[in-house]
Amino acid sequence: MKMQGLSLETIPPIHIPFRFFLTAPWMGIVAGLALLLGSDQAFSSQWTPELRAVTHLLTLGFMAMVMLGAMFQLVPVISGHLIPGGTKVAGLVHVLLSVGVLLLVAGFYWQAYALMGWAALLLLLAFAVFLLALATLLRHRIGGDSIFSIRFAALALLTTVGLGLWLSASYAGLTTPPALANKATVHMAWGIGGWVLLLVMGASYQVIPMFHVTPSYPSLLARGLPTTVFVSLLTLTLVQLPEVQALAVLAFCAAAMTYAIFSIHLLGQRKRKLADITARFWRLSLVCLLLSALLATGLYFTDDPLPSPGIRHQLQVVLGTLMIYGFAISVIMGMLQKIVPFLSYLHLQRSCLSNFALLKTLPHMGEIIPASRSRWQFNLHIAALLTLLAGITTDQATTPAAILVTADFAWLSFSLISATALYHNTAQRITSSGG
Amino acid sequence: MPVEITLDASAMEPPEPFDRATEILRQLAPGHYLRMLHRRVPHPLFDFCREMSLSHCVIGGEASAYEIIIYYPADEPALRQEGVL
Repeated sequence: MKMQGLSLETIPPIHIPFRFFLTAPWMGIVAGLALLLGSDQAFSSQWTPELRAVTHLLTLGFMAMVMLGAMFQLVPVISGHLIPGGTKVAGLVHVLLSVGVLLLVAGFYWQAYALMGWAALLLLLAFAVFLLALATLLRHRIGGDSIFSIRFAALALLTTVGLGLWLSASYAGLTTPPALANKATVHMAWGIGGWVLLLVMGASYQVIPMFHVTPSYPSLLARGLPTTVFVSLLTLTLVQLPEVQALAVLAFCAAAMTYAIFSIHLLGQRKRKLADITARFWRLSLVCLLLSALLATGLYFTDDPLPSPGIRHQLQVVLGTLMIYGFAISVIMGMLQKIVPFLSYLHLQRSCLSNFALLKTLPHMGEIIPASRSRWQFNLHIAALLTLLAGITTDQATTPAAILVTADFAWLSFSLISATALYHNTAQRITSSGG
Repeated sequence: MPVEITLDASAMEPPEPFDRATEILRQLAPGHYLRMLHRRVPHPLFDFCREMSLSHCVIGGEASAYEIIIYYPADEPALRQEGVL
């Protein structure tokens, strides 16, 4: 007899992940509006106030918001232990993160750096509470390949937040900036290349085989890739020797490319070849990861044969767009199309346990977010991504890109609110029927 | 001799294995048992089994990752005798 690392006994109440999932698209909408109301030159460099505000709305407001909600859901289920503090901890993290992100973004957008001290304090508290709660779960020596990668992701988050808070405090004039070469690049590398990539890796080891009926990731690969990513980032941060840095960049990019190619190959082995929007989001995301790794390698090893230094800045913005909007946001949007209906259905099933006749009256999982709505999400998302990339090369595309980004997140918000309403109506009906 | 009903869920996407299994279990008669082939351990189904007072056993399978046997507790001796459990 063998058991697998999933425990549904420790499934948290649905409102814990859902409060994060429902808030996140609003941050994306604000990002779209900030681009729309900002200057046409927003994409001219990664340092414009608009782009820094938009980047943090997307990375902290959208991506971290969903990821924290998903971690509050996933880690108890795969580690078999409840979150210490439960609802109170999740509620506190949610409020601190929401207010902290808005203050930080206001600080960037209006260059009101005094706000950043407050933002730093709130974000410090949000991540400290989250990481403390997570650390108590992750210290248990169980959970398999997913937890192995998530442990590295948590350490990468700690480093990202530490560097980010230090940078925020230095903007606010509270301290001197960290004595690191390329400190903002190091902060971004740990955030996107560390926390996001490692967390996506860890989650994919569970969700790709489970939802898409594919073979599992081989354990050697599932553990080797996150280890390579983490060690490469550590080396890039701590060792300044050019030869060692070059080796670390190569190792990091090779790991990201191997992960992308192997995952695309796994998705090609789906036992059922039915059209599936989440699988399309995964493929889009993995292709963007592959392109990002190739571009990062090219940028690092090309000294400056490009016709204009402006192009190098633009290519850096292309890299950030591919990693954030193309890789991370695509995979998050795709997973939400699957996870929100799955969690709703799972909780509704459990509430029917004392009246089995009600099971037949439950909405099918496919009705919670209808396939047609998910297809619109994919089309809007890919249009927004392509227009954003176009916006980097021509100012004329900035307004269409901003409108499409706003529409992309507004559509997501509509889908999630509709799904939640359907869940609550059904749960209420079950309760009143004596379920 | 207990009668086997087989459900191969190894190529089904969630929540189809749960839906198909609960449909069978709601009509399961004493003397019958369900052998479910699955690539994962279907934990939500065990809550359903508990509520229906059915027993279950998870076996590392040959053809698929897991075989889950769901049966009436009264049939356990017969299932053991037959080598099912």
